[in-house]
Amino acid sequence: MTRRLHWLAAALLPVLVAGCDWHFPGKPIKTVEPVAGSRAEFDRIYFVNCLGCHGPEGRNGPARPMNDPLYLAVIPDEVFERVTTEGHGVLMPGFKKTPFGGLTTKEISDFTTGIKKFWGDPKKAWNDLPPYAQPEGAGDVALGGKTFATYCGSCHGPDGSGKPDGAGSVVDKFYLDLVSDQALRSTVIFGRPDLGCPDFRGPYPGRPAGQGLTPADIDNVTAWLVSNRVSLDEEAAR
Amino acid sequence: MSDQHDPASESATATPAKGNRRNFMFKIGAGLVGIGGLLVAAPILGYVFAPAFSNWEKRRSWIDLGGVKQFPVGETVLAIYKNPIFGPTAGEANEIPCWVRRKSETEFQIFYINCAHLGCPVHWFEESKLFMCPCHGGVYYEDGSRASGPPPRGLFEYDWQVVRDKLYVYGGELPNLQIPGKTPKDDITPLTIDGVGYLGGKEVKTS
Amino acid sequence: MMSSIKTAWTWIDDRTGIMQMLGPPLKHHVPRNAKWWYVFGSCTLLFFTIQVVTGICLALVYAPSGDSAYDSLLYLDYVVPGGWMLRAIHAWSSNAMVFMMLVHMTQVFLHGAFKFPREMTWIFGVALMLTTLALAFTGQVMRWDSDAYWGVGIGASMMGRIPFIGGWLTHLILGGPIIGGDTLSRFFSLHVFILPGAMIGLIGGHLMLVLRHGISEEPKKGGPGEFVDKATYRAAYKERMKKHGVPFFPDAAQRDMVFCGIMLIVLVVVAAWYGPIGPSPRPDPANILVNPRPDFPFLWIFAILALLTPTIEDYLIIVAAPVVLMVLFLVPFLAGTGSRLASSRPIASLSVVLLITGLLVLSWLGVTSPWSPHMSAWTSDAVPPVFVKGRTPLQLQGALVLQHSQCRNCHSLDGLGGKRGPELGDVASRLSRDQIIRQVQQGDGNMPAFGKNLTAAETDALAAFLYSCHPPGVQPATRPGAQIKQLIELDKARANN
Repeated sequence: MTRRLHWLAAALLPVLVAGCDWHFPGKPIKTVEPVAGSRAEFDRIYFVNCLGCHGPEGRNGPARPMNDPLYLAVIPDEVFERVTTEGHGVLMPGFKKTPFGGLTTKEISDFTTGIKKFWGDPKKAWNDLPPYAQPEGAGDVALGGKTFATYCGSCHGPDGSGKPDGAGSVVDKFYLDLVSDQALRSTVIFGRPDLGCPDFRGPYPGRPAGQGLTPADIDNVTAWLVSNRVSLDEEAAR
Repeated sequence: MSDQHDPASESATATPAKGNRRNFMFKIGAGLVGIGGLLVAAPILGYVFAPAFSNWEKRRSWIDLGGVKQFPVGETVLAIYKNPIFGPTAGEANEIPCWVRRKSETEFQIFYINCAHLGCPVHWFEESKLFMCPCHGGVYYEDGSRASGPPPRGLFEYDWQVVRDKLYVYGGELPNLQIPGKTPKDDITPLTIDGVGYLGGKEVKTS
Repeated sequence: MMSSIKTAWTWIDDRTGIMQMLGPPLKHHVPRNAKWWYVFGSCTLLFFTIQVVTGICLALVYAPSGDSAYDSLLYLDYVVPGGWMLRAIHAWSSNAMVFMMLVHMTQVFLHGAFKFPREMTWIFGVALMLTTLALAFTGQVMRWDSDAYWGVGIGASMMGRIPFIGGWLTHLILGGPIIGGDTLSRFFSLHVFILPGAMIGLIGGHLMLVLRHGISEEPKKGGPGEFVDKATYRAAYKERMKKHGVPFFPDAAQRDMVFCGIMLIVLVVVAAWYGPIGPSPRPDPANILVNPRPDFPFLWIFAILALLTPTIEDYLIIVAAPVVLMVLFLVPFLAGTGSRLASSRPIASLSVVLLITGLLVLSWLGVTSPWSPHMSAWTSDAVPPVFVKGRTPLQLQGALVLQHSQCRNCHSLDGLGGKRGPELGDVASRLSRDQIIRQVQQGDGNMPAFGKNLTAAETDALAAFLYSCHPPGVQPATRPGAQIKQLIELDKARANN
């Protein structure tokens, strides 16, 4: 009996080997490259390069949420591509192609199209959108400070230095040293919807619904935030 | 031994004259086989062990990494060169990467890709200014010195020189603790362009 | 019909003397109690046979050339009918052979079968073990993928640590000053000619010695062969075999056949299920986005090399490895006589337990390799939302500094990220804010110093974020040592209860 079993095993071997076209789980399958512009490719690029800071599903990361239709409607394609390629400010690295990684120009432009398609709301008719960048010379610091106290003060404190039970300081010298003017303006426009900070349309805590910031308000508040910067080098010199 | 039935020993005692001749033949035979064996073994052993004894230093050479403009001051970038010492079947294994750091307008540092611990490829991180190794976790600072992990020393460095606005690297060796990459000054071959020899970026006499 | 076959066989047997030659080895007497413990050696031999056959088959297609080896593997995997299956069987049979060999060796050691007069059998066995491991290593190089390329580099770097002759040895192994086509050809010669040749010779010697000294009895308390005494063992063994022995074929061989049959079926199922091993990315050194890992039999070495401190590493590679090998070879001379019972040999039994535990733990560490930085963690491992919610703008910038400075490559948040450094999700309960800043700036305890690369603002933001990382209900540490007092009080309270 045991001998017969042995022979059976020996006879099975060539049969199994000959069964090369049988789809055993171990048969190697050529990996299919994700199609450029597809959702799978978009997800892959986001997962590998962006997820760490911009958060899973484009929200709840320490950096600005990308899964935000308003943000994607306002930011111009060329700015998005330039920031992805070259980086921005102190803490956003560029992802241009290097011999050991990064993304090609084509991948970046596909990604830009993809993010607006998959996470944006292209069909929606957006009205009265403020410009992404601060117009040259725009913004009144004194007015901005007042607007800030009115709209943002209930969380960040009227002077922006934060409230123990509310949101933190936005005039901290180190915070202001790390973020760019554009980042400050973006926060004024888009808020942090994932973290409970409203965008410019409101509703702001303690303010009636439907009351938001006008483009001029945005310019002013941005100018006021920027005016709070101190030069750390000068301070160190003192 | 003697109590065993051995036809050879029996005949040897029976006819000593014949035995002498056999003995003589045996010695000649052993000698010939020995000499012949050595003659055959010499080329075989030479062939097998040649790589160990060859003077590879003499076959290393200066390789053009391209114009210095490609290397921005203060940055560390990956450069890839074709290994000058190779057989016809090396294929893609000949594409040797190295990290080029331009310290200043005139100063470079070129690091071997191989970790000083056990030779795995180190990866440069621009943001934290660190080299990290994926195998056993060796970490190095921007200048190649050891930061943490198991490496016993800093990264191995290449000899380099800038000639006519081009960066040249002295390549062609897998470094390890016994062969730490840099070549002794006496062994280094000058780079020759248009019949002029260069070492350390300066013209030298070529023999 | 049957009778004519019988006539033909009788003729062949008469003219060749085949039964005269094979009969005595097949019919030689083995102990009656040599049962299931004794099947592992035969099974190791079976796997070696599989390796020879599948190896020859793979060589029909495989090209041992640096510029085409990798493509010939892909060709085997995707185009050649059954090519992937043969690669799978060859790879898994290699693992199985190493595993069976270790089981066989453990059994021989625990049963004291290496003792007088079987010392040489053990020595041949240790040589066979080394050859098997060498075959496994050179086989991994045959894949000529990135694991193979950097694996050879690791081997060469280890050689390079040997004083005086290190450089010489490196060049000899690589066939030149650098890894290239000649390196693969050298390993190919080793893998398909030299090592299998040595293997066959050693197996022949091993089996001849088994026949010469007979198979040792399974030691039983008070049973025959429990004690080995040089003066009496041989005669007594001969006597016992004459009286109580059974012929190897078929009495003992049938168990070998049952076990080998089962193992063959397991092998084919595993190969069909898990498929071939590798290849990893192409052997292109310019592609540095690789994660070189050795095959299963060498993971424990990989782990040791990561865990040793630099100061003793050289001694381990140059001194300890040869010493351990010498001890292995000398085992039968260190304990050549006396009791063969494992329960009467506490040191031997304990060393087996320690060795197996050590190998398993180290291999597991080799699989998880917590010491390796996760190269893409800084861009692909999220800051868990629980560390984002409720944070101040400065703390959020600090979390960005944490990602941007590649801290996550070595540090985890809530278990996500590199495992080289300590988890940072509760760092504030261990370090005060000042201690965090000092650690970041100066480094220490195997952490690089980041002082030169971080501005004051970045350092402050990072510290602000890290100081907000403490488990709910646990106060952040306010000053160095604050926590110690709390802990002591906690201990006291526990002791009183």
